[in-house]
Amino acid sequence: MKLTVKPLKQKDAGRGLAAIDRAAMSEMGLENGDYIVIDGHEGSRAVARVWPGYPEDEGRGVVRIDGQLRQEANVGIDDTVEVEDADVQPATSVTVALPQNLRVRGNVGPHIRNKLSGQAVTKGQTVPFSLGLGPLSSMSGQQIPLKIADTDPEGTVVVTDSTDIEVSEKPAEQIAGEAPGGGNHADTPNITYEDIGGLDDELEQVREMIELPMRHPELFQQLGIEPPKGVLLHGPPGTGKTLMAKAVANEIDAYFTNISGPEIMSKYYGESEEQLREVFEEAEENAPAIVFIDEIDSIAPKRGETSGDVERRVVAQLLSLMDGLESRKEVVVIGATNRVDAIDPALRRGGRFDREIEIGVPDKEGRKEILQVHTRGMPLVDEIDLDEYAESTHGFVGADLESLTKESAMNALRRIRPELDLESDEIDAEILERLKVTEADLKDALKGITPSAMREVFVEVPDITWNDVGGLEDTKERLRETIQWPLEYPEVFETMDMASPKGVLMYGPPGTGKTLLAKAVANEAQSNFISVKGPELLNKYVGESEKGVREVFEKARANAPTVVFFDEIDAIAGERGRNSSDSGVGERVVSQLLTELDGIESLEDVVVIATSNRPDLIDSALLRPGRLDRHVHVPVPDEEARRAILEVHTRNKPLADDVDLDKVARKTEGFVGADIEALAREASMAASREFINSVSPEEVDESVGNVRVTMDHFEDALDQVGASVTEETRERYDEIEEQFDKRDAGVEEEETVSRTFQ
Amino acid sequence: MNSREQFREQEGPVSRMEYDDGSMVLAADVGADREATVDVVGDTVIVVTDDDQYEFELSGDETETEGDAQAFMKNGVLTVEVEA
Repeated sequence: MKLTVKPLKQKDAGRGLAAIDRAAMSEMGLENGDYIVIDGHEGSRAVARVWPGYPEDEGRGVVRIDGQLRQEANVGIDDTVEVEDADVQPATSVTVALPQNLRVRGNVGPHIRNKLSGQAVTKGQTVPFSLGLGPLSSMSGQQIPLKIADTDPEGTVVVTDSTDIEVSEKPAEQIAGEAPGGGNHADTPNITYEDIGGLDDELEQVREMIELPMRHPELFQQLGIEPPKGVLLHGPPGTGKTLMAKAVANEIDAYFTNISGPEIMSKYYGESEEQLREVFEEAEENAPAIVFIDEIDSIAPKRGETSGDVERRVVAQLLSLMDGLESRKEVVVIGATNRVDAIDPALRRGGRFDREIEIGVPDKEGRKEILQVHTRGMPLVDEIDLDEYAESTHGFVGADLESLTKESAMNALRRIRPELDLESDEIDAEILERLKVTEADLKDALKGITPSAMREVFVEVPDITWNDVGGLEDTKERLRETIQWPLEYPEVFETMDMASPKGVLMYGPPGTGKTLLAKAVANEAQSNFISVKGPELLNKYVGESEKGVREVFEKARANAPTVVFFDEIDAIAGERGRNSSDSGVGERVVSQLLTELDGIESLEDVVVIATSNRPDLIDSALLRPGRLDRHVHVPVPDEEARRAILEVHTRNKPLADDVDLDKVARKTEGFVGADIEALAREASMAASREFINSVSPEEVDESVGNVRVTMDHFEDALDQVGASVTEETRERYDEIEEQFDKRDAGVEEEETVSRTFQ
Repeated sequence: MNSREQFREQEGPVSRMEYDDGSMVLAADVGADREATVDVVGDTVIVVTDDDQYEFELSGDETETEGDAQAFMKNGVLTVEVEA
């Protein structure tokens, strides 16, 4: 029966499965698990097991197979293939040949059987075979070509548990079998669509632009339009632009040629352009062809802005090659760049790069698919749940995830290294079989890898949870609402048609725990965390300070969800129009902050937290709704809160039974969190002083376990530590809170107005 | 980790496909080489391989499955069909 080939989902790939839609399955009388033969082009055939079809394929006559099977059958996506029931015999014995340069000691037969079992093989076929972390495959997922030298019985057989695997004396290179399926070009990269995770939509667009015109140019003739000539892929580094171009080239089996920007540059006059022309000529001769220009910004920068004469001529040459007088035949140009705005605008129009496709940072689903791709050939222990890792890797791009899997594999390798004898030139097959990547390996690797876009601003997420914050229940609750809810319950926000808050301003007297709260948020919010210390943004050059603000937000956007934390924001966001002793830098920084927070470019999943002791000094435009729209007063703690804070600070201290924390809390009227911490420290210090003076140094170790902090120590400490916040200060903050409340309610204070227009 | 996840982790992906006519198919690839038998008891699917036994719930979580469930195994592909 004739069916249309489609790609398989990433999670099912690499297992020799073919998902056939249910209608076609019942028509052919197939059941799940049956062997089928897929008849591709030029007599190439592939064997697969039937897998239940995806619901979206119902009745469309679709067979979904992965890239490996597509290559074996020499077919591409959207081709039609003949699929029929296969008569496959279980193999009694199979002889395999290993590549010459692979040295393995011991009996690898059982290992190979384990890996091959269930696969249908035929004589002369080359089976990609992953040996875990063998000597040839220092990279994860690299595979060794294993040649099937002989089978018994003849024909297509399936390897089972009882199959004898013999390793041929002759290495694979000496066995002349028929060439494996696909007639690959030597320089066509060996990447299939299944090797790309999380970019389904983008891939579909690229295929539509490139594959369709190459396969069926008549469609475009019928419509009377020129087929598309070029696609520009852009996005942050490591998101898979080059990979996608490689996969497309591989799958449509077109001639593929690669221009690497700096390579074509020559010191001789006119030679750079000539090299460019040669590449296109060569492509035209081999049409249909794809010319891939990686890092196109290096050879096609804006002409007005480059100083070099050569660059300008190269750009001009590229322009005329792409859309000149001579019509370009079936040559499609794919450009890739991560600085799309640096490209000459003349290239970015229809007829040259017809479409610009943005390859973004993957979301959770995308990350899972990418992890599935990279762990496909990796021996993972059973407990590993990739979902969990996809969830906790915000801001990771494909390249980061690849290095995550690679690092964890290296960790596994490190564990086994003491057993390896590096002197001997062979590795024991038994050890190879024992190599497995464990959960701890992955966790360790995750600690060492930060998203590449965050490297510059990365801060270690502090190890503080909501539990370490005593009291402040209201404040905590409001922060949780603002920061955690939009991420945890997006559906609620969607249904209620609410935009998540942009920012929170925490204000209060010094020492009440504003920074501590921010640390807890960073830890609990499951987001990336960028901490900005106000004064460090300032720079002596004009314009650089504003640039600093811009860069912080750019990074935050690229790594969303992100929490941006401005400590002591009054330092950089003071009221404008006061005095201009600093030649207006402060004002421009404030303006930049304003536009970043609520400008034309929207901030998605970026929350700003700012703290200040002097909220009255902050520019009022920054405090309006839509910018720092929530104002949270972190007050001087009341008795109950002080009790909770004491609890936190004495949690791990050895307290004597007579210590009554309630009483201490009652006596510490006016103390803020920092004062209470000092009190607890002072009390333990008093206890230590007493202890160290009373015993001889030799006995310290033995008797230190008996030391207790008693109520007397607390009384002593109370004499020394006083409240740092005076009654007036408290009143001032209460006034400010009142002011803010009124302003929030829409009543503009007269005083504020007059001050703004001073 | 519930039993269904455990099963998936140990046996490869359990794919769950829900069709428009309301029927549902669970499929898992345990590898063509493994001898395994499968049985459905109520809402629980029990898979017995040479030396091990795995169970998982049909409905996954709270919903009670209605209709009949049929399970069979062929060349290492486990299929559980639940009719509407």
